[in-house]
Amino acid sequence: MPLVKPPAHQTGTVPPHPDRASVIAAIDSCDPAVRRAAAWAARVYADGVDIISHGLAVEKDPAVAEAMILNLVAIGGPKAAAVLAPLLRSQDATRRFAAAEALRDIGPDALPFFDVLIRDRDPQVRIMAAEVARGQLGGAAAQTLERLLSDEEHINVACAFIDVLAEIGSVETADVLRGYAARLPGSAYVRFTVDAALARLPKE
Amino acid sequence: MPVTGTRQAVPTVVTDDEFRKFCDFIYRRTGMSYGQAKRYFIDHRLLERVAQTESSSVQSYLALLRFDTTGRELETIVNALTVNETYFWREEHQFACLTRSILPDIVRRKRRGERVRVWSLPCSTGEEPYSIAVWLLEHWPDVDHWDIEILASDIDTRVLAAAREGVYDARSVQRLPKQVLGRYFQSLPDDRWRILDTLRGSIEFTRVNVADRNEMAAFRDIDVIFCRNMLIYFDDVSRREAAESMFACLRPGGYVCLGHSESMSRISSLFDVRRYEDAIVYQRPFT
Amino acid sequence: MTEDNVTPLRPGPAKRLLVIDDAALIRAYYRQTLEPMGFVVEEAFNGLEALEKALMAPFDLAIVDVNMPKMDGLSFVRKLRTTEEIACLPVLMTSTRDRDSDIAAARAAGVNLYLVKPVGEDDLRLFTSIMTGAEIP
Repeated sequence: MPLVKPPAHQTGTVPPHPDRASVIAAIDSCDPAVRRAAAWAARVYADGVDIISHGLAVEKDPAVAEAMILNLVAIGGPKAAAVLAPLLRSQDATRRFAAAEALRDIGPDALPFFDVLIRDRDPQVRIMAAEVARGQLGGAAAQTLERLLSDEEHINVACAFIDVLAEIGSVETADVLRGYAARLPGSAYVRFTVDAALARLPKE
Repeated sequence: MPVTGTRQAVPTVVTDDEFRKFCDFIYRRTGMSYGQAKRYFIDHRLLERVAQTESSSVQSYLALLRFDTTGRELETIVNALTVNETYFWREEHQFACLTRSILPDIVRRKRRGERVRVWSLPCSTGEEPYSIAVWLLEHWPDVDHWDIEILASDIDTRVLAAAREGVYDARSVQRLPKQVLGRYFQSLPDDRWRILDTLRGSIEFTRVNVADRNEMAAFRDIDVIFCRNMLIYFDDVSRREAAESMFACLRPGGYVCLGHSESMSRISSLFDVRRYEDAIVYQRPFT
Repeated sequence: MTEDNVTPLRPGPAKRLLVIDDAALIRAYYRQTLEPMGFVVEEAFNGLEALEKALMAPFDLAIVDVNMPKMDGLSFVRKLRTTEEIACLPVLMTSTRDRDSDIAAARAAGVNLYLVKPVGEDDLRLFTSIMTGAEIP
């Protein structure tokens, strides 16, 4: 019989949690596996956000960065949000998106950062900030997007707002979208986007 | 609560608030998330436990659940919430992929004497790990050249007990060819079948909460994880954490097989997608 | 796809498009614009899902956004070009980014054509037809 049962000690034995000093050392290791383990271990310490943010600032390995961002979400709070917010400007699209998703998952503590970034001068940052609002159903974030949409100059940013509003908007969102479409009557793209969003919004 | 002097009637309704509190609690403790779509199912299981624990109200059951330091009530309700729909050689094409493509790739990088480790997670009542064992013995030409460990885990202790028993009804084994059934099962009265003792004894069954990183850390150097139809019950963050944990459990180059309706592409970018003749699977990169 | 082997969209088999964008409304826009012309449109939400779909069934053209979660458009194209079974799939990239450096990066990754968003209906129909060798509208 080629099937063998592992000796009992090989499964079910939980290794001890590393102490804080070893976690701080491990986050700088040259071995990605050690760094990702450190990102996980850091979450139990009071200064976990600092430890991870130190590592994330220089992290090149996308898989390790993903683990670090995931653990910032697990720790949560305004400090974790403050580490993630600047990453919306990253040159790396995957990193930008991971940060936006993480801010979305952090929830209310990320909203003050959302309020600033959604008004950023860089249209690319506004597009990413809109992602933070996805999932914040029927709340202040949707109202912010509605208010800003009326003045938005950039058609791609506007369409990003509309895409998110189609998911999180309310009955009242419909008029805001119609108002925006009326400003650009010649654009089939805008007309289509608004019509598709209207079809997705809740009715009375 | 007013004292009426008579026995309270059994509660029959779960309020929106109670539903939300209950789901929040289950989510925090296990990572399983349920929305309104599952409302009927959840209410039913919850009221069942309220009645069985003789709680006077849903509210007081929730208090019992929250303050039960032994964790026994959590275990019971989790058992009730976990749906176990499974049978032998379910999604057979993935087992074909295992023996035709995945294992040949894995053993190519192994030295003689090293073990091949396959993990069934969640294993439910044992159909999947036993299916893997039987499939390997039947279909992998190399099976006699390697020592194979099959690990099997679930959060639900009740199904683990059933898995160790290894007794199945006719519906469960209906996809198995007659000769295979005859070779690995012993016939019991009432058209039930028991897996042979040698096979039962060769599989290690353990309780694991996938949402608990520490428990997952006990599993390392796995070559293949079968994780089918579990992540669909998790929310976004829990899914990503589970993918992270599985990544850490695998050896570089190891594989994850998900259910046919599941895809890693919306969960995590940690794995490389691999298209083989029989299935799409996910591989932990080598670097 | 070779230049001298251009086949008209009708009456030959329908050309298959893989539309990759995280925004549901944009995927719907592509679908609504291109399906009436006889194209078969399949959608993917990010680069990873697109790789999976491209490995499962053959496509004539991928229309890819840059900004996407988990695997962005550029990483998708790089991965595509090094994955044997699908390395030759033509790619039309659409992006909100319009700097020369963005376009150069796309070229270097292996993008065949780069259009700045929003892409109007006429342009979308025209370039999709050209790149799939379909009848030009």
